Amino acid sequence: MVVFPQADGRLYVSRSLDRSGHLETNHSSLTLDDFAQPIQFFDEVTVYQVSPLRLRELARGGRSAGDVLQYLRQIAQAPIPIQVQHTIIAEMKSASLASPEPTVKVTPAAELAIDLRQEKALRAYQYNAVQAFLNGPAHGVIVLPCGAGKTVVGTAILASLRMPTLILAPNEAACEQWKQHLLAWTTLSECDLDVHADNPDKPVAIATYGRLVARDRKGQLRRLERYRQRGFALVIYDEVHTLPARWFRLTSELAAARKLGLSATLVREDGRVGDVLSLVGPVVFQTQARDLTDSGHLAPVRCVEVRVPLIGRDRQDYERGSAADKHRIAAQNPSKLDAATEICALHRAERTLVMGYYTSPLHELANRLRVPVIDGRTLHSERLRLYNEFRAGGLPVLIVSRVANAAIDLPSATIAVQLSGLYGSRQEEAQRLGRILRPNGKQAIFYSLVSDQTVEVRRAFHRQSYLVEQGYTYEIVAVDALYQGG
Amino acid sequence: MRLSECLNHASISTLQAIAQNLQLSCTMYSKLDLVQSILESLRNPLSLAEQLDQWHEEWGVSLRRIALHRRNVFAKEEIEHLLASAGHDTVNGLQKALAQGWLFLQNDSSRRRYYIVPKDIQMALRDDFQRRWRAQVRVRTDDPLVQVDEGMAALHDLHTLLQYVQQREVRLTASGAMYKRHVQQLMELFEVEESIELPQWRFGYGRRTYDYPDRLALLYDFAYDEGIVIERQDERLTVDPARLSDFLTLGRKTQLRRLLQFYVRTYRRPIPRLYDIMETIRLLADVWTSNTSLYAICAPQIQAFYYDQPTDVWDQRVVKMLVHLGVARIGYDDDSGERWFQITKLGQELLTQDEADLPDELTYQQAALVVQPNFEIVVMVPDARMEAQIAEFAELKSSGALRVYRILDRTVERGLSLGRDFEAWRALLATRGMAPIPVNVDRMLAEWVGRGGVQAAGLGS
Repeated sequence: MVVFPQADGRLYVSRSLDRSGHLETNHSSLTLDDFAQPIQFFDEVTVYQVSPLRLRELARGGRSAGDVLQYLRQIAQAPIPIQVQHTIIAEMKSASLASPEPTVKVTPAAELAIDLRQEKALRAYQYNAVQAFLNGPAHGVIVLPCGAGKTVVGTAILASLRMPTLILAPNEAACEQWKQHLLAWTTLSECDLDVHADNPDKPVAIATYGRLVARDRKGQLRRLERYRQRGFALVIYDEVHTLPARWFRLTSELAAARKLGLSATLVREDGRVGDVLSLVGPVVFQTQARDLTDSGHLAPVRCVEVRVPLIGRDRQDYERGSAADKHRIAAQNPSKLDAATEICALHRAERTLVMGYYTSPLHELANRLRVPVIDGRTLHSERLRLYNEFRAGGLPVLIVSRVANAAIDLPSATIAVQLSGLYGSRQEEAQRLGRILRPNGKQAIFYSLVSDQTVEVRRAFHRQSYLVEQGYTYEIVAVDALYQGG
Repeated sequence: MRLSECLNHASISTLQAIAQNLQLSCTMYSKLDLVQSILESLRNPLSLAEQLDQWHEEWGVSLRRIALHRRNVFAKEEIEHLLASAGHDTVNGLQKALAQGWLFLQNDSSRRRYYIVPKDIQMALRDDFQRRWRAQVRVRTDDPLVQVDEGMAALHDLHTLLQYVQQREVRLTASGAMYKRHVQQLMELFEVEESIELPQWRFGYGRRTYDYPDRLALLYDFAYDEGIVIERQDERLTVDPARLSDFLTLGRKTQLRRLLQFYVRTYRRPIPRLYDIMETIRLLADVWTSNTSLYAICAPQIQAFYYDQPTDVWDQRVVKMLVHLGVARIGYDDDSGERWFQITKLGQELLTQDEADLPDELTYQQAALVVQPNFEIVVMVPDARMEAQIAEFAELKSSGALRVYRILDRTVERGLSLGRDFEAWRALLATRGMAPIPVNVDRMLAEWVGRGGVQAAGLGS
């Protein structure tokens, strides 16, 4: 292993370039993963970033900055940049200065009778995540890729702490999913749960962020106020990164002995990851999709970008249109519907999820394929029914608009088709990919349709960079390749 | 010339004077006898040590300068000047030195007189100084926690500077300096960043000291001195491609040594004893040496220079610059604690080896780079000429232990618009890459090149 340290804290690691050939003599029994985390996975060169969190963890475990630097000097090909040395020393010093108060005492009276059901077992990384939170600081964030079982981890933590808990989720469907999970995994019964934020006396409450911060007719934040007074011992923030900053500040005012943030990604287009960390707490556990794919917990995914030509009237409109028009016209390119139809036909035997930003093409495609659509107007009960049917295998194709972006468990989709999207948004990308990352053994394919020679191409390029950095394979094919059976 | 040869060439009266001085009991009239007795005496470690003590007492700082001097042959005025610093008047001083057996007068065929210190005596003097100083400096055997070691960063940043001037339109102010915007951009690309806020009064340390921070000024002045960058009349900065390519054909360590030599040449004006200082450091600091104790040894050779006090000269002009040049590194355990100084392995090589002997560990390697699927080109084995070509269609993203370039549609467009050879560039990535170019990257490249109006390979296939 050969390591090249950069001044920005990145460590480029090449395993194939080890010219020395000698056995690694590692006296300190440290590894790179103890103080850095991988951020880009490639075959030749993997890129790690020195992680303040891991450094602090290491310091709490009794290791010194000297140990880390000595090890790094052993494996590095060049002198360690001074900035990196300073980071390592400062982080490890701050950890050893801070009084280690990992857990907060719970008054025995508050303890609830919640246990995980006997027959349920956590996967190793889920167990590690639970332990990291329980033994870590009072407030912390766990980052797991979509499909890795964030809800399971949250449930297990709830059952371990046995505290009155408030769970905040981005939408009703996600709330419902939490409810189902709690009932299936723990000894809680339905009467212990308050799902609509109406009855604050139940031990476990589940609510959407929106409902919690909704104002009444007088403009008062009554519900939030009630919950604030109620005082939960544990607050779980699901999909914590998706929150608009304003809501976030309000909900983060909730007093709680412990706060847990759950998230699939800490990438935010507005770059305000720091807000999440400062309002909830530091990342206490993080794992990458690639790791879980390697260990068989997530399905391997191929990303395919399909280039669809934009022709005729639409092309003319496109050329004349303003910047905003261009984006809309390219996104709604009717040729995409043909391509999507073709893809659904290609994968007839598999369950296919079609996603899109604009709803009218989705409805048109639904008519063509005679399958249902879920969009913002679909009733809650109807949504749940369709999700269940799709999960059970009754529907081969399901079409969803933006609503499905987060926190819905659709475990059986192996093919995803992205008709249009905010291509630039890496957060959205992680969500969408998460839809099909659930383990079922099959190779999953994530198609995204891009209008050729339009603004979409450039946006897709950003997205490509993000996905390849996560370690997915990425192909670009012309639409003709589909029709030729490719 | 060695002592034995010097004695053989010496006149009988000189030999007699030396023998008397050494209190030898030999026949004073046989040259052979005299030569042998003197040799025997000065080759005996015990009696040599005795003599060295005496010479030290007598000549002090003069002897130090002679011992550290890179030459052992001096003109009359030169040696008189050197001896005068010990406080002797010139005639007596010279006579005295000649009678002690460490300085000899030589007449060559052209009848010019010059003075010589035998090579082996000069070495013995040097060893003796080293021993004395060693007893005075404080050293440590363990490694300091923080180590400021810039390795070959000066050379990398020189290459970055040249690449920058080559790839961009760099305009100069009326006084011939780059605009601040350029300096800022350079600092972002450089491996070692400097503050661009300059104190008001600066001069003496090179041609552009007034305009740029110290390290950049040195790199720039060097490039200018070598004729690689040209300040044109129309207030633009350009690169002479022929000079640049000549320079880049040199081995990397040879390039760095040229830069080091340029530093000594430039800084010698304000610091006349710079060479001696560096020799002293080289003799002492092969292990971690306390900075203050090292300064105490060097202090007699350092004078104030206008606004720079002797300690400023030491810290800012010598130590800091030697660290920038990769010759030395500084270590410390905490911010307030003692600073430690050490000559690096690279520094030992640069200071002692001749250019021809400088090992260049970076012999041409076929596989030197990796094209990553996220459109980054990671250069694993530095090669300035290769990188100059890479930069035609990519831009430097970060530099450090390795340099990372990124390919963007606009960098490809820029290369095409400047008429660079895309196919040759792509071939370079393919042949020097440790792995094939990732399919997705190749696909985008073909597309970008197609958009630029050049024949596209495999577009839409």
